[in-house]
Amino acid sequence: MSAVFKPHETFRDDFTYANSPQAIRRFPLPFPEDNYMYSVNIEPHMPGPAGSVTEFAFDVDEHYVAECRERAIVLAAEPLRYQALPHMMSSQWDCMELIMDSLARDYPEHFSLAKQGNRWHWINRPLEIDQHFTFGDAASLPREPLDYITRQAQGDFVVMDQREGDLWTEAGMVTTQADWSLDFDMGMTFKEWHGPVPLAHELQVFDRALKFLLNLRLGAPVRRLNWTMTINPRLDTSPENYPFWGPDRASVTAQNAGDRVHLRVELQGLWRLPRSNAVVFGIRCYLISLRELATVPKWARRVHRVLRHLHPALIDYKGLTRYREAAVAWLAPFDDGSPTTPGTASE
Amino acid sequence: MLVTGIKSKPVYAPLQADIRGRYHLMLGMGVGAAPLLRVIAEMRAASEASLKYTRVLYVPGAEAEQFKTAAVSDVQIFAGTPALLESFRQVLAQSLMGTRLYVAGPESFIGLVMKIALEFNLNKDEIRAEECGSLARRIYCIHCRATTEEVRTNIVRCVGCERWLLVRDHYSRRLAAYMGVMVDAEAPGELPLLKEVFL
Ligand code: HEM
Repeated sequence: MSAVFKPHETFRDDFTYANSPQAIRRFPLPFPEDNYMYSVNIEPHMPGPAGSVTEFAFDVDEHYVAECRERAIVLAAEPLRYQALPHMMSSQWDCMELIMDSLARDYPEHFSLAKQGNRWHWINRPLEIDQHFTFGDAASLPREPLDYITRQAQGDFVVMDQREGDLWTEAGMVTTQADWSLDFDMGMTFKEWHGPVPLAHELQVFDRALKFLLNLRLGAPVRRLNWTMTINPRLDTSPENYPFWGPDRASVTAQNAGDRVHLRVELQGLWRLPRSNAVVFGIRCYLISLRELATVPKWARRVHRVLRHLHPALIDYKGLTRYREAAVAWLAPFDDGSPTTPGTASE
Repeated sequence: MLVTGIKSKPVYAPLQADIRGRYHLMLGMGVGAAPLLRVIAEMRAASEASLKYTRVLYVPGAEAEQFKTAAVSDVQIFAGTPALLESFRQVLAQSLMGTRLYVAGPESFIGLVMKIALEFNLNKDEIRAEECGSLARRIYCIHCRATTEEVRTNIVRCVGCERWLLVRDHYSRRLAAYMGVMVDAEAPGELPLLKEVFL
């Protein structure tokens, strides 16, 4: 079943973004239990059930067109939200191929890709793009390959070179991030860019995750979920623009929390790339308001409990300090104390 | 919020003479003279000849005179860090085969040297460094990209956009700076007490 695009949704100013009932039902809740702590929650990126967000390698949903437009708005104002070091060109082509192959295979009604040797023909119907180019020849595309293809994809992408037993962030398209900066983190190693995360270093999460990723195999991608919260359905919560979105956090009350406070979930996928041996990290962001979430009774109870008992270091790191209590108060009437079944299914 | 324990800043091994190197390039600033003089003494004890192949670039400090009496063949004294770094760039543009690099001084000085080394693709293991002296930080404003130098306080006014920035512990080797992020974005005017913390 293909989603109906909502091309006029906005993620800024009047914030007209919303989820359809179908989008709510397939929302990737990141809480299999009533409490939450960091862990090495990595699993194979195997196709999930039909209609779920993991059915395909890259999920294209009802927000696709609007999200691509939002990305273009960010890049027009801040070109450095896309960056790539010169030696990353081979991984850029790898990445473009992965995304084009996947989209054309999984959504033939929207995308098609014809290859005759190095002569490729790419069609993106929702965005009305029709492009002939020569694979491997940057001059045959209007932009660098990673820039070109990630403007036609939902979610952020970071490409890491692998050498000296580490992963190095050396290319990326990052316009929908939860408060971290590609510009600042460029050139860093796995543990350097994870530097600000509390507790997880001490829990050996990053030692184990890095070891795992260094052995990531071609054709065997993995995924994990991560989450935080955002006021209003704003995709661009970059540190660069914090002066503009920071004040939103002070605007939340127990009355408006249902519409203002959004759970922000990242479906993160990791793929080994064939020619460059680099790793691409896709960070696909899903936003849902507490009011939308509360249409699923089990989820309302669960999120209420997770938020109520969240570790203080995580409250601080995720920036929830000013409004967590308001969110908990808004959710409280939905929690009658009855048990929740294990797992994230809506019951 | 300040997160303790800086995971993104490299930890350097203390300086030690490595006489297997054919050439020795030493970069120092201020109190960084002491570790360099210590290495020079180690070299003299191990192989007097290696001092003939040692070059020192130094920003004083009261210790400048001491290098002159240390019998090192080539000592250059600079009026300031930018001039020293420019000279370092020129050296790197030539071959460094067989050269050992030693850096000593305050952490912001070492950071700037490492930034240039990184631009020239030197592996961080090819350089030895010893931190001593001031902990003052270079702060990169994540909003306007200006860098504020010599920051000793928990919050600082950005030289570029004039916002009050919280000095974070997140460090970039590429920028040789810590991240500064607007401190009162959520509640304009609500500033924490100004405190000297990086001395
Ligand atoms: C290799 C690809 C990865 C990249 C590029 C990446 C990048 C990042 C970045 C930039 C942050 C934000 C740090 C900040 O505050 O500045 C972050 C947070 C985090 N990352 Fe990763 N990460 C990767 C893989 C992983 C993996 C495999 C794990 C496995 C456990 C992981 C666990 C976390 C956790 C727990 C956080 C804190 C999130 C929060 O509380 O909101 N990351 N990551």
